Amino acid sequence: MIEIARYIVSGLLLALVQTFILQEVNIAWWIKPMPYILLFLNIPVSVNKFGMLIGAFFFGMTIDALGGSMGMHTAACVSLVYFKYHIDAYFLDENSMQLQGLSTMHEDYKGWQWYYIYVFSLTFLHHLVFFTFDYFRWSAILTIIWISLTSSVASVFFVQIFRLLKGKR
Amino acid sequence: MVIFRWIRNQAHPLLFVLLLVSAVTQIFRYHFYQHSIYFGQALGAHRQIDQWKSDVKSYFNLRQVNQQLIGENTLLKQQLNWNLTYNSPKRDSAYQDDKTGNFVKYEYIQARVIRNSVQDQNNFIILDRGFKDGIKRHMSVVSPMGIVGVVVESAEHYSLVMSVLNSKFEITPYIFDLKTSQGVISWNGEDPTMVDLEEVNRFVKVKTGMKLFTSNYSLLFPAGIPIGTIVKSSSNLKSNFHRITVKLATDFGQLDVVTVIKNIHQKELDVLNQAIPADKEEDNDRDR
Repeated sequence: MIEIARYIVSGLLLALVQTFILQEVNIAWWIKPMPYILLFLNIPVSVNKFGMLIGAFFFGMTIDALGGSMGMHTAACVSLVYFKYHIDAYFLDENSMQLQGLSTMHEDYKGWQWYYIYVFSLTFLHHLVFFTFDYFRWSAILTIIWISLTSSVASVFFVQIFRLLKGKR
Repeated sequence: MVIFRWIRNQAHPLLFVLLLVSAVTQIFRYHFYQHSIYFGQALGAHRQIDQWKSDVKSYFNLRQVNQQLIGENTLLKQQLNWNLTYNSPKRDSAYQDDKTGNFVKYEYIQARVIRNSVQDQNNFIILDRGFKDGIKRHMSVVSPMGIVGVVVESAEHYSLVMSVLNSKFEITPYIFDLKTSQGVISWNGEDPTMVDLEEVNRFVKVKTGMKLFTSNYSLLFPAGIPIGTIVKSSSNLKSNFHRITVKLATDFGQLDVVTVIKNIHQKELDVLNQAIPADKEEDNDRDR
């Protein structure tokens, strides 16, 4: 129960940071970091997949309501969580993680290269969905891919900063 | 029965599609009716959140805004003296202030900067007040920190200001420590915090740290508004003039609230200005 409350609070904090700070600070038109995906990285992989989908939906709605983007973050979050389920199955082995005492992807598990590949691919997927709906025309496909890539790098950077602030376990 | 089993097996992807469709529906509604939804009542709640957001943002700015207000108050106090013309009932063309009964020369209109640039060669600022608020061309714009620019165009609700950071902007400063008005201030298009002061006679003893203000020769700006501080000056025997760099008093990256100054006698001044014969001769020279 306390765990759930903690995720809700950290989700709200991340949503506030996203909408009140990161969305307001204009770094460059092609860098729009969305480090709130840290929330999904923090939630243990063993959590109920339906619950995750619904949770992601409401979390995305919260950010959309705060930021006024109506549906875009929701679509991106729901897609992220759905595909994360399959990506987790590819990257992670629950049994060996349990042996290491880990509940989420961590640098200690398989090394930092795999960690960054995992985090970056999830981030890129989320950003790709978001910017596809943001631009929503075929002619902008290269822009969408470019902005997704650059923003993903920025997001991963911020995710690492947040993790450092929180203190590595 | 087969369908139920299929649904049970595919529940996860189905739920995903359901949620995604609902999100996408929101996106489409938002995009198709962006205007009507945004300006209508459907997003009243959203505007409320925007209001909160703006409140939070202004809370973060409070300290800065306070400082700007203090600066502005000082500026207003300074303005009191030079703002007054004669308290004579014959000067009916002057504007009489209802509260004090004084005849004043200038009227002040508060405006907010909604667009501002410092990177271009010719920078412009857009204010959220237009001719409906009484803003016209050739009015000067100042901030609590110092001069900002001159209004070059005004629309109904907005106006365009030529910033000091514009290659076409020129002004003659009053060098306070020397009690003289000399030279021309212009921007060279590089550092947005620095301007050049040219055409100051080599024999004038200019030193760094001297403060520059608008002079009373300016037809646009009232006298005594800070322009900046001299940070570098050099002269050589080949030239008759100093080469002076001035640090601007106004931080153009932080403009927020500005004051547009309306000279009540601007029309008279314009007419007189056009009647100056020297200008005409010069123009004729140029035509030839």
